[in-house]
Amino acid sequence: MREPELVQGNEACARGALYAGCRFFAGYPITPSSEIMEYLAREMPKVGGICLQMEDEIASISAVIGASWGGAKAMTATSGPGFSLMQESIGYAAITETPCVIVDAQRWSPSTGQPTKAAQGDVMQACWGTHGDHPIIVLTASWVREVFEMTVHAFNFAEKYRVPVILLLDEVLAHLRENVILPEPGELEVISRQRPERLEDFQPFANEMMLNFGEGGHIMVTGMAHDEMGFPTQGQKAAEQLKRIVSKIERRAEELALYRAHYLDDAEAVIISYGITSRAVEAAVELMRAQGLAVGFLDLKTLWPFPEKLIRSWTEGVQYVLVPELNLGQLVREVERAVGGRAPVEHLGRVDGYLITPQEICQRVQERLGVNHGVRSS
Amino acid sequence: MKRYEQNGFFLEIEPRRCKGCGVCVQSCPMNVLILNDAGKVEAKEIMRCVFCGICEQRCPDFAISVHKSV
Amino acid sequence: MAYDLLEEYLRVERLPHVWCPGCGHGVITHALACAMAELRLDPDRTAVIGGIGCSGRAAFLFDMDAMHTTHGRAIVFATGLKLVRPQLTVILTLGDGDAVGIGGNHFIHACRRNLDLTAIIYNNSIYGQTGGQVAPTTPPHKKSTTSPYGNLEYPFDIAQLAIAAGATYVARTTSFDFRDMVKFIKRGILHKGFAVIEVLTHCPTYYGRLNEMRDPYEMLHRLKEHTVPLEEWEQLSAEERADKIVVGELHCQERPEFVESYYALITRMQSQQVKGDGN
Repeated sequence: MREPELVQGNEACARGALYAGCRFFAGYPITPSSEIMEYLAREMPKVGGICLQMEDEIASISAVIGASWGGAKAMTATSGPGFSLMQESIGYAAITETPCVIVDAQRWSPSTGQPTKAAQGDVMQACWGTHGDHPIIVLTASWVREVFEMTVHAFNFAEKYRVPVILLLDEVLAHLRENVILPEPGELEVISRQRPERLEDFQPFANEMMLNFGEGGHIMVTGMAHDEMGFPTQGQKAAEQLKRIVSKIERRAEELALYRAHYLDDAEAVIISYGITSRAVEAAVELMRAQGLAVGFLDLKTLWPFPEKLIRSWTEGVQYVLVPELNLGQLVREVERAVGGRAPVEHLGRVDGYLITPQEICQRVQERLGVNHGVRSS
Repeated sequence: MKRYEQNGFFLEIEPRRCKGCGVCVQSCPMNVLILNDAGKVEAKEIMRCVFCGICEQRCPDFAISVHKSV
Repeated sequence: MAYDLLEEYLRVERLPHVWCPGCGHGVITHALACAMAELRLDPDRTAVIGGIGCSGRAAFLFDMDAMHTTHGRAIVFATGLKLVRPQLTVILTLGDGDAVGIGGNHFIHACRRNLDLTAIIYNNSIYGQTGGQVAPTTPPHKKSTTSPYGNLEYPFDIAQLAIAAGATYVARTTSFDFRDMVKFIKRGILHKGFAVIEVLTHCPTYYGRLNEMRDPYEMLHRLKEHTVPLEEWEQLSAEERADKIVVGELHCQERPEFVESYYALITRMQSQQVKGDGN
């Protein structure tokens, strides 16, 4: 029997990356993500990998893309301001179908904001931060062990579908230390990019097969609209290629949807949450169930592509949907769209730098379900 | 592709690549080259060519080259 | 250089290229291909990484792994690639705006870091691809579409900037001096460390047209007239140097190369682990 160990969220992310086979990391110091780079600076050389502190976040993501084309599983980690700097190259990764992982440990609101306070304000930026139509996958986590698992999933998705994958953490989870037993080698599936069998007629931008630089493929990579061979194109061919790279992710929304669902079968009210907030939601639901209230929750791990069908089916026939988030209302709008007016959808936001509590959630749900007495935690 | 041969050397011109900038014409120390009516380079006086290769080094379009016959 | 040899390195089927008639970029690209051919580089083990701008288009012409990156970032894309594929010869084709405008931060840090990359800087003193705007390399008083009354700023001297920032091989030449371009590029590629070859070149379409020198031949010769080889430069008085630019092999220095240093660290850490396991 393995002993549990005390692990920080950022450390779990770094260890998850190594577990997934990440052998290149480039980053720039920023609170609250810096411990990821600090851990990897120590550990990467021991496994034959590279960890490099760059001159800024633009350099970090760009080096990651270069390393990925060199054949390495590659990652960077940052927080909101750095994440904004990375957006141009994230678009480049999307159009060039470059597998890579970008971790964003979210902190409070725009600009310097409050670097040591948690938030969930980058949900829309994670999806729409770069310019133009593009594919993207965005994952989240709520527990330290889950940070490890989601980092592995992030690499698996990136490699399997040749797409940038963003892992949204937040300041609390990034700095939180929990007693955990992390997965052992072999326990989680680890996926690597698929190589073409034949070099001769290989088209590097036709599907998810990928040939790295230095393997004789004479691959042309460009951020311009390009044909299957990587050379500039326009008109109908450009449209076809854009639709292909967007739909390779969008049409797989269901298989990409990772989530935890509980008490949903008989639920009259459903609470939909993600990230650190899901911990309060789960506690609140347990409290309300103990009271006999028919409340369930859906804890989303995949935010984008948005699991629309999943939400539609789980909210079928419910009376009330609540979306607590550490922001002024981001994912709630997507939920509203999915629910399509079949039940009232409400947002419960908090932006004072503190986490939403189970009590706040209970209070709101009880009010809406017409329950008078409050729930107090013992 | 046009090929002009003389004394064990030849000059090759790829009109498809030529954009008619005229740099080779002006650079040629022996006045061998001209731009024709189509605006492409042509060797008018190949007899005078000393195959120095300046045209090849000045051409921005990979349109003109000098070789030694094998 | 025989063209059949050049064709090993170039995607000749993509010619004619996109550059304007008379543009110096074709000449520099030709010199780069010649340098590769003379060094007999293996195209399977060579990569060209370009930025955005006219110069970035060079990447499309090389028949090897090539990347046309984002504006100003070619150096950092190449940094990631070179670190995970040290056996690749990685060559950068950068413009002046690319290298010291939008990418200036990456440029100085690459010089400092001393990765084994060779950066060829196509310096035409203007933003060509976007239509002739003023660049950080545009000489004082020269006109561009965004300095219509003459440039009020002072330009970067790219070679001096590279030396000051720690590049270990720095040479400067012009698109007029074909053999010097080939020679310096070859030495840059062979040099272990960050090599910068600045090539002063001509943009007849914008720089020339806006500054009353439309003729590419005339522009080429003007480059020649305004540059002085290092040996002569050293004999000139400050006055004589005023409107001249020094060309030649300006700096060459041995300093630990970053990729080697990192891999030495890997070897050291891994051998310590093996020893640790044995105890």
